[in-house]
Amino acid sequence: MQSKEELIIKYFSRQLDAEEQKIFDLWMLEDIDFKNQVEFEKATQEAIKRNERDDLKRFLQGLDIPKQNKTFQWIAIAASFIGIVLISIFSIYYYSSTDSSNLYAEYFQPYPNEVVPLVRGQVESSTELKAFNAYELENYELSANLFENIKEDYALLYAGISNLELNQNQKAITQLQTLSLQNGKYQEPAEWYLALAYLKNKENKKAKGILKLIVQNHQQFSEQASELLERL
Amino acid sequence: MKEDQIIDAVKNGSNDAVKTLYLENRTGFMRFMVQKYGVPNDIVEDFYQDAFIALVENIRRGKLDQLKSNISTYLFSIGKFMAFKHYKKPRLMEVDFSDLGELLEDDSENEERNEALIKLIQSKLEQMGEACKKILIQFYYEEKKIDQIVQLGDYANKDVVKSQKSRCLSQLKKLVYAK
Repeated sequence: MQSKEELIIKYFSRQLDAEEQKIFDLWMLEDIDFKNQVEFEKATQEAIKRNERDDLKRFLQGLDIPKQNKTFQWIAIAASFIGIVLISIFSIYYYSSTDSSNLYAEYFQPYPNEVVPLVRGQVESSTELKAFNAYELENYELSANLFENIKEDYALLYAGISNLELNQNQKAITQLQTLSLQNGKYQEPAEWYLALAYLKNKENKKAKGILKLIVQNHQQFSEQASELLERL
Repeated sequence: MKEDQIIDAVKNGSNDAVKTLYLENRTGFMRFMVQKYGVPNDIVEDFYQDAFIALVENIRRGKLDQLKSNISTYLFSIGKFMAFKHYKKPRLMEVDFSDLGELLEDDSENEERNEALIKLIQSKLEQMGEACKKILIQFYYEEKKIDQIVQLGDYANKDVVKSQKSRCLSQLKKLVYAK
């Protein structure tokens, strides 16, 4: 007859033969101490199994490459997000100050004299001719002065542009704005130069508003306007 | 390292061997499970971990000592089995290979009491000395027979193993039932 302890060892080692299994089952029914001992050892076995699995799982999670990658991805996403925010803040600051005048310089070209063709050596008799002559010679002080005295639509355009060249931004804006509100041949260039005037005056919001309008409605300046809009 | 060397190293408790085995098979296993069995991407990692834990358990229990195929084939077959179980049984984490063939307790009250006891033993095991932990793990988890434990060299003969195991179990009992 085997000891009870021996029987339990064989049970956990899966070494019970048929006869021993019968005795084991009998004691499980009849001997409460035996049953309790087996139950305790079964619980111990389960507890060890769970602890071992937990340990292994923790170890594996420690080396888990994709989870680290996920963390890195999040860090990368967060970093690029912060980057975008910083760039945006920088751009808003930069374009609203320094670069709006750079852009202005890049896009501004005095509107050509489309009104009175000048012939070299021609005697400048009328105010009109004198004004355009001064304008083409880049004598903007004189041209601004002369254009302001001409009561024609076109004069507002060239006066405005002359004033832009003279850094009389506010004056230029008023003149160009007046012209831009009138339907006619000079409305399109007036709007374009008004947008540039706002840009020069660091009023980017207003410049954008006008540029959007130009992109939608113009034939003459829409391409330049949409390009400039993208850069704002 | 040859596969039987890796198996030996895992059996001897080498973390490096476990790590190598885990990383070497990870991509292949996950791709296999996603492509062949449609296991969703977000759970395939858990799937792999559970399959791998089952693999390591079987290695430690000596079930791969006579392995005819290679380890990855064996791992994949665990995966296949898990996929089968998963679609029958929605909660993946519940899949437990070692429970297969074990008799289920009918008495739910009894089961509840055992659950509390298991949790208590889990925490008390942590308070035990290394020698005791080791012999209990060898006997109950790795399912080593008494003479196999003797062969591992820590104990002179079977009787010493038996009395040590008995001593450790009494010590654990005292910890568990101490007030």
